[in-house]
Amino acid sequence: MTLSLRDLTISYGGLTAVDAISLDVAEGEVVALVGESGCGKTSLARALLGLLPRTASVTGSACLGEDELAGRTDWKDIRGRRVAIVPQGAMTGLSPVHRIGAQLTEMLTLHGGHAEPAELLERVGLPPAMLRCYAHELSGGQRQRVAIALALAGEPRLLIADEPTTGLDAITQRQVLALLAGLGTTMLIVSHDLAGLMPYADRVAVMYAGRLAEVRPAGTLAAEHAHPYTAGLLTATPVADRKVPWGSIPGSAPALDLLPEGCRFAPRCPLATSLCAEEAPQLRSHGTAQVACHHHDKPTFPVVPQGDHPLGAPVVRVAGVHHRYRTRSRTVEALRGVDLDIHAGEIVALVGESGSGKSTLARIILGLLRPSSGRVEIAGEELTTRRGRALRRLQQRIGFVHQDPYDALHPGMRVASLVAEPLVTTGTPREHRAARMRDAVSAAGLPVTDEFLQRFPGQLSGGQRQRVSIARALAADPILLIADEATSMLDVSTRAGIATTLRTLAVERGLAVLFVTHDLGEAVQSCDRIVVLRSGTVVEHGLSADLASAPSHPYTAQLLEAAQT
Amino acid sequence: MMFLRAPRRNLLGTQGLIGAGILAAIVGVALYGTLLPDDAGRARVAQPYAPPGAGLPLGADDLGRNLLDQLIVGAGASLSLAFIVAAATTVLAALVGGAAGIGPRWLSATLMRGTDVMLVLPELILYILAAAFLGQSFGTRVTILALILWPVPARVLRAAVLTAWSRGHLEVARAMGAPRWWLLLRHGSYLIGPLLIPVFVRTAMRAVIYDATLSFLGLGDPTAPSWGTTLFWVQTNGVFLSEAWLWWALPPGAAITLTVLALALIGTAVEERLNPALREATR
Repeated sequence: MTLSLRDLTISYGGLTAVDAISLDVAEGEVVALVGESGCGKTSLARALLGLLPRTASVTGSACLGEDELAGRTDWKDIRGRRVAIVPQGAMTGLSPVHRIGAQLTEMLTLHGGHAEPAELLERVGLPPAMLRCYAHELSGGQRQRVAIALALAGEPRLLIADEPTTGLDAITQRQVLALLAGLGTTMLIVSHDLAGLMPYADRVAVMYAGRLAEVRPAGTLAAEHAHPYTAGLLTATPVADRKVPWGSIPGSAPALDLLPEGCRFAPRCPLATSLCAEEAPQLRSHGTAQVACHHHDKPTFPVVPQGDHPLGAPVVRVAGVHHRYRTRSRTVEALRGVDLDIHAGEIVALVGESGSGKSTLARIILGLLRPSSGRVEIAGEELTTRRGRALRRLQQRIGFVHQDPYDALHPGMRVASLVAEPLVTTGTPREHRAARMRDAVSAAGLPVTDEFLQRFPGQLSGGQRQRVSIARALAADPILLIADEATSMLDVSTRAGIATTLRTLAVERGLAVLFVTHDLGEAVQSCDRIVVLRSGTVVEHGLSADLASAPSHPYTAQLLEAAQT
Repeated sequence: MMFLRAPRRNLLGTQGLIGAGILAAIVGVALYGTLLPDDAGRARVAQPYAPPGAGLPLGADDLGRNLLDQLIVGAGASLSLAFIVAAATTVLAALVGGAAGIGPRWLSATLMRGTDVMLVLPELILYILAAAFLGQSFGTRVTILALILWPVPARVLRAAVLTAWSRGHLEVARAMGAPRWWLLLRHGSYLIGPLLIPVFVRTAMRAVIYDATLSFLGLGDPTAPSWGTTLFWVQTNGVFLSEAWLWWALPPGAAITLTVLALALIGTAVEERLNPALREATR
């Protein structure tokens, strides 16, 4: 065994984040450690590198060969040489002022590696010419490859990859994972993306609230998983095929000081019985796998309903929109003649990778950006030529759900006044505000209790925040809702819940919804029509079902393949 | 986990509390000074060069004036000037920085180039020259100091406004058709308002130093008691050659140092808690 963890426990000031984990990683094996945010997987990875804050205490043992990593204080000759990390977010992990070659040389000198910088680059599939590049000259995927090369410099026995694909496009994500899996190094990949990792890992360890729920060879996981949480994670990942249902796990992961007795997943589990609440299940052998569950049935989770596409009156009509961004040195064509129609009661997905112009288009329809040319009509009224008060009056009929639930809510306002904000700015009479605010809150699937309405955003979970955002967008009774990557920063288990809410709103209120996303799977599952955008041009559009089964553009086919794991 | 607690701000911390304590004591002394008779520190009450004794805890200067009274009255002069200058500068900087941040591009460019020109000028020399030619009345000194000190905070506040304007909740508010005044009052003030506190404190600190410098150079009003003026007479009389420096030169020097120290302690403590970049670095 290269790495063997025995009863590894990590706690922060008495609150246990990782609870007695035992796990082995064999020589050359790639193990994926999977779970939602707050489940303890990052704490575990950091403990193995000695990167925990001073407030954390580690007990139990974590042996890497002969070296004990748990509770170690002297990390010289261990970090970098025996165990190395591929950090999350390669955008900031590289020095912006040194050439790639110099950074590799530094790593080699520090950790006594014997390779040449060019060899390292070759191992990660980059040409030696890149030694002379600076970090900003590389794409996100190339930077992540350089980060991997840096981790390899000290010839470590164990590589720990912490969310190595965050912020990368779907196609690049697969390339980076394939590269990592092909290195032949013993590896622990920490990620929230179970479905994405399955084809590349040898074994998967699913973690929930500080404990292991299931450990199973990756090859048999899709067919034979036995823990309800694993089933939940799998169904919560949208597959670009309308026949595979997309479900959500109700609720959210428990906070460290509110861990339930017994099985920690029980409050969210469809199979939970009174036994689950009383007795915590042990991790027991289950064929080739280990599972911690009292049950052996397959759970059923709530599924996102698919619309049957009722065509209402057109609400949005975008015709021939061009947009150019000008800076001093160059001009960027963000949109090159885009047409788009959205009808009442339908959800249209705008799919594209970063830089495809999808956010620019959303901002033009919102009236935040004036296009270089082209027309945007909202309910028959021209938007692009309006200014001042006339523009604002039209904007008040559009709801906007921002991408970042942590930044989109004023941190000093309570839920009630956040949701009532559009009512104040549209000048709704004071006596109607409270009723309409409560109406919007319940339509967004939130509790309408006084206690909840008095909370600050800091007291809400990510999913709740995004629902408050939706409630705020609904309050002024819009005819169009624009959701800009509304689910991208949420945990995978809550995404389907948000999509279900949007569907209910479209059906019940006849709301037109523009769902901007980079995830084609999500679009296929939850939207009626899909528009695929690439470098400012619509490359394909059509009904979700048709597009998923028979893509006509090679780029769409490529995206579909990336979303069909 | 974090999201269970309501947001609460502990603005000062131990370091800031010490600063606030010192400042409160000095403000108390200054307030006591307003109760003294009008001629306190100016009237001749003892023999010239009288050493400390009964009724004269700090002795008298070369004209027989009470040095303790000068110190107490000087506290009021220094602090009132510092706070008025700080308030004026903060308002000026907020206006210029805010206009440069959200105004049209030509306005922003004009204001920022003007700020750059002001930053290049050697401010102390400018201040001394202006004081020498325009006079030393209280109002003139306040105006000159405010006009000299605004550029740095204006730049800081412009950057803050630009950051604030790109925040998610401001963008959402703009997208839902909220008018500009609403954006500024409901959203902008929450993000920018806290930054005004360190600007205010730091400006007050610099105003105390600059004003004392001016008086020390003899460009202040030589008859109005202030810490800088006392030090000016110390210098002219060659007090450092005798043992009188202990009660004549040391108290006003220490008073200036303490005031600046108190303001600096408050300033850094508040800034560390409010400036996101510093908050990240000290974690």
